[in-house]
Amino acid sequence: MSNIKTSAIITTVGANNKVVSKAITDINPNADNGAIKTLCQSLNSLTNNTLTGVQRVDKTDITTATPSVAKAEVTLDTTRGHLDEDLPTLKIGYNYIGAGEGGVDYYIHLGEVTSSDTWIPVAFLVAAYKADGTFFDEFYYNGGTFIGYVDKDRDPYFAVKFTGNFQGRNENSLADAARIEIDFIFPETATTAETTYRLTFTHTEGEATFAKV
Amino acid sequence: MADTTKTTKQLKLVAGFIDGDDRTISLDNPRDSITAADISAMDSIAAGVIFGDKAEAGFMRWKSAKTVESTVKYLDLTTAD
Repeated sequence: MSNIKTSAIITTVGANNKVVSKAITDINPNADNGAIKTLCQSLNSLTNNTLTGVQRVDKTDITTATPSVAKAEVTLDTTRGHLDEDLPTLKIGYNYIGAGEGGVDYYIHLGEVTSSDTWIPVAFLVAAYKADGTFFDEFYYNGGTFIGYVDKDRDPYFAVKFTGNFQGRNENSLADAARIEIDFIFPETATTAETTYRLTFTHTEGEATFAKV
Repeated sequence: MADTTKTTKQLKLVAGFIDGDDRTISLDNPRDSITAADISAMDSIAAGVIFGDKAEAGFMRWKSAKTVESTVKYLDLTTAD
């Protein structure tokens, strides 16, 4: 959990020229100012009020926070090749990502792994988007096997293996998505900061990209 | 003085998050002409900006929206002898 609490303060003029400020709490600290402003403008557009200001407030809880220590990010060595050439062609099916019913393995070369932890469990989120870029559905892993880990004492690989199905929270099919993003989240450890890498499929078959976000 | 009444109207938006958490955002003085499409159009705008307050889970969608109108009557006690 982040020890930074971010809020947006929306100031409006409403009925009878009354000035009102309202806080939208639990803003993602990583959200940029433009995205926060757009959300506040959209919310205010649902009212008869006139938006006069948006302030961002980042509060750091220093009560329990440990002294700041510079932490390395998990680094993936793309120069050594990622999404190995001998991997099966990437496809998006009805509710799977991979070469077919058997799923697919990704062995992505890591660069230097500085974590003191031998095993880093890697969480992932799957979001899908429509052709116009708007949100389509969020998918979760519905059974099967998922392995996402880093083992610095063995081969320095970030290994991901999917052998199950994805289920749309709104009952949508992955096949109907124009773009799918899978965020692999390397959690914060004693020596590494939280780092997210995103695997993006922009077609139903073929190329994928993999980059830090 | 006499008894007075005050009427207020609020839009209550319920945001749903990936971990199942919900959060309500209340907006004063809502428009009368709000449609479901207006709310759905904000799905992509909220994604990545707000998250749940329990586990900081990502925003999933706006789950519901309703307008609530309330009337409060203030009794004039200066004449209650």
